[in-house]
Amino acid sequence: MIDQLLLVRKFNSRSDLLEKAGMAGFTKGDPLNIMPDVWEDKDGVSHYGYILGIPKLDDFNNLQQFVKDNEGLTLLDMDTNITATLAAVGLRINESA
Amino acid sequence: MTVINPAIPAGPYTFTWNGNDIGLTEGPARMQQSPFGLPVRATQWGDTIIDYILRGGGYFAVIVVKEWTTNSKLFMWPFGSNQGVIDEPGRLFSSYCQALVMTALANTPAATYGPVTRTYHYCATLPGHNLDIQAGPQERNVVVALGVLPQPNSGGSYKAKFFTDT
Repeated sequence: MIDQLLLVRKFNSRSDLLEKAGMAGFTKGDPLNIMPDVWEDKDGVSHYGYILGIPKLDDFNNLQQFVKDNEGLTLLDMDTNITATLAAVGLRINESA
Repeated sequence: MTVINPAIPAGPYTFTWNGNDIGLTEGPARMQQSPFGLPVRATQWGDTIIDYILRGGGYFAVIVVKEWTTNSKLFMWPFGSNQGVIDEPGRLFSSYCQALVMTALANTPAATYGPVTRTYHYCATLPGHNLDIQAGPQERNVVVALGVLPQPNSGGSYKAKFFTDT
């Protein structure tokens, strides 16, 4: 199992994105509301986050290519907890969104 | 009738280095990158470059620091905020590198079109860059040129990753 966090910039989000990425069946939990660490909660959400458990390397490779080919997507290794994963790129969860 | 609404990602960014706010800056941050390549020539083509052998790349940034604080001084001189001392010869640049995180101001086109954040995971003042620090009845704007070091793009990879955009 390859655990990844897929970040989707709000401006580039669309309802069928996970299906297009071939990831619709691999999500763990609800989407996360994410924002920069230095923003205030009232500034709102900048990204949506999807924790993915990807079973096969082929699926992971396809996702990497999808991320390269589409604007506003970032794929992060979930090698620690979600808070640390986000903090490493200046982001955090917006708890009030 | 509608406005043209071009996708122009304008908007200021704020900066932290090693998790600390470096304060106000002057003008835009300049994010620079260039591929390195060895020119390929052949006698039959004279001096014409017929291809390049790609050999990695270099990533740099230029930020003009405006405030004079412990954080901003450490950012421009990672050997210590008193700036009067440089460490022993032989130390590696990488040991002074820290993460620089740029964040777009909320509700700006930059925060819409991105990057909302850019993280240079390992960077510090570029060796050889001359910090020109002015003292006088004016703003103390200091141009800081940053060298960026890469990490493997993934485990076992020799693709060099220099930053992460979100």
